[in-house]
Amino acid sequence: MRIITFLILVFISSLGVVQAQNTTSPYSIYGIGVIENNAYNRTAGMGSTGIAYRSENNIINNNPAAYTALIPQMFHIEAGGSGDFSSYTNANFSNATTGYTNQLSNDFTVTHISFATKVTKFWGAAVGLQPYSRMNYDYNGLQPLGPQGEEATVTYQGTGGVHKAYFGNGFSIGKHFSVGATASFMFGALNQSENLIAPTANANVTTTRNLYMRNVLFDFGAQYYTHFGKEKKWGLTLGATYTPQQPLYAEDSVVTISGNTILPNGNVLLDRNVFQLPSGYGGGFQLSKESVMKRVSFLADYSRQMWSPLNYQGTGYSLENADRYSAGFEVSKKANIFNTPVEHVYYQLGGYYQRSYINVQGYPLQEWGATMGIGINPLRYPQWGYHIALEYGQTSNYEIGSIKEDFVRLTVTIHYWDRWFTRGRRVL
Amino acid sequence: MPIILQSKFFVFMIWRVMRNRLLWLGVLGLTVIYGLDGCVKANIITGQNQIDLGLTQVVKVDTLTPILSTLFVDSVPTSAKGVAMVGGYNDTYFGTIKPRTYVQVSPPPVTNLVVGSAFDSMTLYVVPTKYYYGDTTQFLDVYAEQIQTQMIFPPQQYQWYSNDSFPVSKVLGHTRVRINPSYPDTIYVPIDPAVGEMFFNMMKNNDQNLVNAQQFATFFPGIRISSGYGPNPGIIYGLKDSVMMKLYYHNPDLARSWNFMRFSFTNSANQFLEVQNKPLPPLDQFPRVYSDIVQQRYSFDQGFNNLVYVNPLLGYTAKVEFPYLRNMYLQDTTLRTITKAELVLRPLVPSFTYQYQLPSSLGLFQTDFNNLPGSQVSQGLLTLDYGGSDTQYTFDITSYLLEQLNDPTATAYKRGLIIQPTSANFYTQINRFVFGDKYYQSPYSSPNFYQSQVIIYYISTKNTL
Repeated sequence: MRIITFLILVFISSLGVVQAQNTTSPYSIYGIGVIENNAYNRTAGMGSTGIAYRSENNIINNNPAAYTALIPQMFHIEAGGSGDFSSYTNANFSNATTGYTNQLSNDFTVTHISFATKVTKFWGAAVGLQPYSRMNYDYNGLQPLGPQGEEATVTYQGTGGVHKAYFGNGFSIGKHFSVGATASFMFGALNQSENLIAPTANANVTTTRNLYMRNVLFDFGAQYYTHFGKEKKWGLTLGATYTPQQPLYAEDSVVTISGNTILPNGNVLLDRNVFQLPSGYGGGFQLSKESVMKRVSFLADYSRQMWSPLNYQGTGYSLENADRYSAGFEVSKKANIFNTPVEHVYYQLGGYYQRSYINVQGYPLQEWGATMGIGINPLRYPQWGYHIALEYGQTSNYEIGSIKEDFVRLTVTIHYWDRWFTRGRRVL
Repeated sequence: MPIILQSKFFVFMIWRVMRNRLLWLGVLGLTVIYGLDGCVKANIITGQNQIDLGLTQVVKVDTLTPILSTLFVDSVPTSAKGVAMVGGYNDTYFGTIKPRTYVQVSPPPVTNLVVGSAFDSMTLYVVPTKYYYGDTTQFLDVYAEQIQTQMIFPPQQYQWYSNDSFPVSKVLGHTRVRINPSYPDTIYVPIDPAVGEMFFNMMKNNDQNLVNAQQFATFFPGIRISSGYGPNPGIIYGLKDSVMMKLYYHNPDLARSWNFMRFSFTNSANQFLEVQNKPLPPLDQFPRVYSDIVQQRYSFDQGFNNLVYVNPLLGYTAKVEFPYLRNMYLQDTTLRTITKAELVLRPLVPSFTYQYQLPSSLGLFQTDFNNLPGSQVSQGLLTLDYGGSDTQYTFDITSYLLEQLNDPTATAYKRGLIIQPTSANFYTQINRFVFGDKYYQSPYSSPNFYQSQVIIYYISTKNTL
């Protein structure tokens, strides 16, 4: 019966995951959009700090080596969504026709779904679907036509994103070391349009660019974990991840329509372009102190994506190396179920600072955020787990006149687990 | 049975599912998520240069160089146009200009004059139009002269041209007037009484030369109306072609009742305008010979000093060519199409005043290397700014340039556009237009003023992404 239950839920959840991302993000106009650095899992409440995080009960995809921490004989499914409530401020907004000095947007999107299990004692695996990047913007701007001060009104709109369907595997090598690899099928479409109206030039032009991308990519991870101290109550985990530079194949097409006429050479299916995704690496640690009914953990991560060597740049922007620093703190409490301590509730705090790969007018796009999270595994329904993370952050490149986004993000993850592969033996 | 069993099993499964609180809890959670799955999308209004995705741009350029030239034909047909002028002035650019009008009149109907009737006077009536060009405060001498020879077309010629001329035998009459062009009065030219007396006696004697117009033309070929032979008065007035003469006489009754005979305008084919012109440099470079070939001098030719001259009644029109148009594709490979193109021609400020006004309308006409005007492409929009520097004619040449841009034939670059007054004003005005080319340097004000310009707006899209 439980299998039927979660199969139904899986079906419902998957309907949402395949929807386009709706999260409004002004800076997603650049590159392939805003790259998701949020881990839509249990680490969301700790600033997505999780390269060195290991969990028995939850699917942690920050590092594929973490899949080896899952409890054997259990099958896990997680699905969740994220809601952004954003306020954009800019000096020019006060001159906007609306008269408001700031503009608001909000949305809520089903973000991910994932499945994981411990296939063997030393092999944990997970499959899932989650966003890799998202593009959603709607701008009105002015474009100069020449030195005489003439301007065109331009509306920039973009939707879409790159999705990541992944299959991750972690393998234990000995008692203190795990390695992992994730094969991801990246796919998605970016739809960008510009509508340009210039009455003095008799121009009403709409250009639509469709970019279809796909490829199979790989990334790798490793974790070393040990306990030390009196009664081995202290735990230390060191984690590392590495992503090689890999191509993302893209098909571009551009259609330019002036009035009702498709312009000559304006409907071009360009050759396949190869968009390179950069190499990247990350490292982190988790230091924890564990008692029978409680565990306190502190985590910190650093990661870098090497965009600069790829030398991508456009009008007024370039893609530069991206750095992310994050740290988190977690208190996990357990409850006795059938005389077995099982995690019941946990509380999290975290924060992060990241310099995005987008560099506008010479200034990097920066984002910082503070997070808090809470997770509950109901004692009456121990198969279910709920995780809620709340985040406040700010995004801007802090150039004079740039757009500043203040946002509150609510991340909700529902976790369900059940026994599989018991072969007559149950661990719980 | 199997079906019933299956149905029971199905109902049983639904019942199990429905009472599964775990399922409801999960569905509730997901429903909450989906319920929130909608968005309010901020439409962000930014200032200039905040965003530039660069897919499409509308680019404004004025770098296309129009090649301008002055075209000259020795004469233009002026007969049967209903246009007459009189006067003259000395033009700073075109030299002395003196229009003279030739007309024919028909004899009055045969009139049986009673014995004792006597001639009184004879007057030529000339009605001005409101057209003028020059200083209207000046007095104008109006001479009526008798044409000496018959106005017969030479072989293969069916019109009179602006350089055609007929000798005159004698002055029929003269008057000196000053005309208010807003409320012009008819010009009365008293005819020599001897001439009037002659016509009166011819009528009295039933002279055969007065039987019909053809016969009368052999005796009295026509009248030339001019401003005489003195210095140019500095003013030209337009006249209606319907001139007439009236011969007044009286009867020998007690009341001495008076009467008149009317010599009406006739044969419009022989009414034409002669325009005498003694050109100044550099226009004197054009050979003054009878020819069908349109002569052409470019603005960069020696002596022309980057200027172009238009005065259609003197035979001058202008031509603009765009031989470098297709180079735009080379200079910007992202050019997709032209959305708007304007040719801006700026007259020299000294060349026009309230008295010497610009042509009220100019048009662009298609042409080729023969330099003969074809169909009209565009009508110029005249912006007047007396005392300023914004006076200009603006022509929409979008369609023409698009056509040329997409014409890969080898002769396309030889085509061009003729700049001349539209047909309504081509013969009715003597207004002229002098303007600079793209490289003209003005000595009067900012050097860039009065330069011709082609302003093009085009759509540019990225070739690669």
